[in-house]
Amino acid sequence: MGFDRRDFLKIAGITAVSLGAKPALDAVLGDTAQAETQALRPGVSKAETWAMVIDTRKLTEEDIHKAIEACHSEHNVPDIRLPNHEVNIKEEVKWLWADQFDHVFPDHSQAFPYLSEEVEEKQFLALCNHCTEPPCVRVCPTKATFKRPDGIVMMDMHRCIGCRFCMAGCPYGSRSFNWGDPRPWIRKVNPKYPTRMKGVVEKCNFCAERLAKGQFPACVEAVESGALVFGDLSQPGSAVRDLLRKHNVIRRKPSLGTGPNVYYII
Amino acid sequence: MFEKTLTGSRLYFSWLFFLLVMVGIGTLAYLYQYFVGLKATGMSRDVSWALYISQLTFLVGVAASAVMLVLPYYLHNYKAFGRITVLGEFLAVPAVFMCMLFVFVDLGQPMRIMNVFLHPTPNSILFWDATVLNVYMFLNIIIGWTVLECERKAVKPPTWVKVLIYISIPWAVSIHTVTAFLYAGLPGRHMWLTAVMAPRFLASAFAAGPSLLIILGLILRKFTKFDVGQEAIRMLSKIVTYALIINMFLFGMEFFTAFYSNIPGHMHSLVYLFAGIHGHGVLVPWMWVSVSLAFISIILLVIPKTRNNNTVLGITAVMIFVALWIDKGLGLIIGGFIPNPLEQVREYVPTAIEILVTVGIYSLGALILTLLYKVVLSVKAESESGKIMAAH
Amino acid sequence: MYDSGKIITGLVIAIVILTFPFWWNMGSAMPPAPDPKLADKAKAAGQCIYSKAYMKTSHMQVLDDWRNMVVRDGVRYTLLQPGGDPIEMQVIKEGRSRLMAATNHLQLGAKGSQYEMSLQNTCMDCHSSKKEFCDQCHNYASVSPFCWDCHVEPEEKK
Repeated sequence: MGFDRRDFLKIAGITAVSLGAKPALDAVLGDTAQAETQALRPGVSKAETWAMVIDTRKLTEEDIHKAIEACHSEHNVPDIRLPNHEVNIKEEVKWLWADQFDHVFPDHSQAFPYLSEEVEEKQFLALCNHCTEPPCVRVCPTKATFKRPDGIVMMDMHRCIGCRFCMAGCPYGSRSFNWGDPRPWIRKVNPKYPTRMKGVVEKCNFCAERLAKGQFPACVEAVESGALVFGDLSQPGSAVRDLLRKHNVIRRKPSLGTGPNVYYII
Repeated sequence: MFEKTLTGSRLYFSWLFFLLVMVGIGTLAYLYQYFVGLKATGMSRDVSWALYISQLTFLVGVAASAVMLVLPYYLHNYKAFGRITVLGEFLAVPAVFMCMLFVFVDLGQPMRIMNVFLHPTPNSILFWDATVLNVYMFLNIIIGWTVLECERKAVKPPTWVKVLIYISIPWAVSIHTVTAFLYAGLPGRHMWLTAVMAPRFLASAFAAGPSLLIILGLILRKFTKFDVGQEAIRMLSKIVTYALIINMFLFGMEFFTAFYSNIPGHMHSLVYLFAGIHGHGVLVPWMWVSVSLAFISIILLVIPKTRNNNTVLGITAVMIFVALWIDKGLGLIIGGFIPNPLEQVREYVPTAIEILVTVGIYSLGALILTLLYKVVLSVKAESESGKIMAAH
Repeated sequence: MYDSGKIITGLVIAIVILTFPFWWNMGSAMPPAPDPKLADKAKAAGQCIYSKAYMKTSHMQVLDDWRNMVVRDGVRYTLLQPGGDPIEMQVIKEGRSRLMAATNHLQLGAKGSQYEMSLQNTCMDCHSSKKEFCDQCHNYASVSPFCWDCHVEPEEKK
C-alpha cells in the first residue's frame, strides 16, 4: 500500500504545526510594535518618569482624608465593609491609604521605646510607587501589568487573569484584588470612569486618564496645601526635581532595588 | 489499553464511584466560587495565595519524584526498578494535572487562562512554570503509555522513547526548580528570598514522592496481585531517608541564617509559624507536628530494623508525607505572606468551599491515578503471566 | 451486532439531546427583529464616528483596537485631521500593522474631529440607552459581551 494511516497522520501533523506557526509567531513578536507607537500621543502629557513627592511635614490628617476620598471616588474604588460597618480588611480594595511610620517604612523602623506616641502614630500616605524596576511587572505572566514609557506602571484590566502573582511580588502591599463583585460596594459611581469586575487586580495608576487631559492626579489636586507634588523626574526644572534638590527624602524599602518613584520629605 | 479500565473487581468500582462523588461535590463547590468570586475562599488582600497554590507547590514535588525511579533504572541499570518506572510516570501524570487544576481554580478570571500563551512573557516565571508543567505531563503520558504498550506487545521500546526518557530526567528537576523560582525571586517576601528554596523543594520532593510510591506499592501488594518487589521498596526507603535528612538539614539552615543574623525581616515569618506573633498562631501546632513527625521518621528510617519492616515503613511513609505536606502545603506559602509587607499580622484560615474544591481536585487526581494504575496492572498481569508461560 | 440493545438506546438518547434546540422551539413564533433606537443626541449628530455599515460589522474590532491603544499604547485621543490621514492611518502606513488590523474603518471617520476613544464617554455619550440600543441586537443574537461588567453605562431614563 502506498499511502497508509501513518503517512496521513504525519502529513496532518506537519500541516497543523505550520498553520499554527503564524499565530504563535504573531503572539511572540506582536507586542514589539507597541513600543514604537508611544511617540504619537496628541493630547497626552509627555513625560519620561512621573514621580510624586510627599511633604509629610505639611500633610495633615484632613489632607490625607481628602486625598483618599478624591482618589477612591474618582476611580470607583469600592468601600467594602463588614456587617458591623468596620472595614473588611480581608477583601478591601485601596489605591491610596495611610498608616503609621513603622508600617509604611519598616526598613527605617522606629520601633524603639523612646519614641513619643504622637510621632509613632503619625499617619503617612502609601500608594503604588510606580517603581523604576517593578517586580510586579517582572512577574506578570500576561503583561497585564506593564511599565509605560512615561514611567507609570499600568494595569490592563482586560488582560488580567487574576493570578495575583503581582500581589505576591509587590514589596509594598500596594495592590488589591477584587475578591468579589465590587459594584455593590461603590458608594457613588463616577460615570466617567469604569469600575472593575471580580477577579482582577487593581492599584493606583497615577491618574493616567487625567494626565492624558493635562490634569494633575486627583489626590494631588485635592490636597490644597500643596503637600503632594507631582512631576517628571527627567526634567531638571520640574517641581519634583526642585524639591529633591532642596530636601532630604526617603523612599520605601530602597534596599530592594525597586527604585520607587514616590519620595517622602520627613 | 483503555478497555482495561472497564473491567475490575467490586472494590475497584466502589472506589471509583466514591471518587466520582467527591469530584462532583468539588465541582459544585467550584461553581459556587466561580459565580461568587474568590471571596468564597479564606484568601485576603494580605494572604493572596493560600491553599490552592500551596497544593500546586506540593504536588509539583510529588510529580518530580518520578525521576527517582527513572534515573536509577535508565541511567544506571538498576534492575529492581525496571518493572515499576511506569508506576512513577503514571503518578507524575495526575500529579501535574492536579497542579494545573489548582492553578485554574485559583485564578480570578479563569476563562482568560490562554492569555498566558497568547501573550508569552519570558521574564515571568509563571509563564515558564505553565510551559514546563505541560511539557512534563505530556512527556510522562507518552513515555509511560508507549513503554507499557511495548511491554504488552512483548517488543523492545523504540529509540525515540529512550530520547524522551533521557529528557524527562533533567526536566523533572526543572519543574520543581522553576516552581521554586516563583517564590525565590520575589524581593518583598523575606521568608522565600533564599537561595536554598530550590534545593529544599527538591529534597522534600524526593522524600515525599518516593514515600507515596512506597505507600502505593504496599497498597497494591495488599489489594491486588501486583508485587512491586521487596528490593524496590528497600531502595525507595533508602532514597527517602537521605532526601528527608537533607531536607531537614536545609530547613535547619534557614533557622540559623534567620536567627543568628537576628534580622527582623528574616525571623518574623518563622516566628509566626513556630511561636505565633501577638497571639496570632493558628499554624503553630501544625508546624510542630510536622517537624516532630519528620524527626521521628528519620529515626525510624535510619534504624535498619524499622526501615526494613514493611508495616513500620508504611506508617513512616505516611508520617513523612503528612509532615512534608504541612511544611510545603501549609507552612511555606501561608507563612511567606505573614507578616505582610507592612509588618502586620493578618491570618488565613481556609473556608469550607476552599477545602471542598481541594478535596474534589485530589479525588480527580486519585481517579486518574487509579485508572492508569489499573491499566498498568492489567497489562503486566497479562505480559508477566505470558513470560512465565513461555519460560515453561 | 453485539450489545445492540444498549447501543440503540444510547443512540436514541444522543439524537434526542443533540436535536433539542430544534424540536423544543418547534411551533413557537420567530422573535421580533432587533429594533435599536437612536437616542436624541445620536439623531442630532447625524453620523457616527465611522459609517453605520462599518460600525454594524466591525464595532467589536474598533472597540478592541481602542482598548489596546488607550490602555497599552497610551494613545487616548484619536485625531482625524481635515483632509489628512488619521493618526492610526499614519501608523499603518509606516508598517506597524499590529494596531489596526482592518484599515477600512479609518478612512470613513468624520474629518476634522478629535475624540476620546472611550466606550463609556464617547460612544455611550450619544447612544445613551443600553437597553434600547446595544441590547436590542445583542439579545437577539444571544451575545453577552462583558464590557459593561466594568464600563459604566449611562443611567437609563425612566
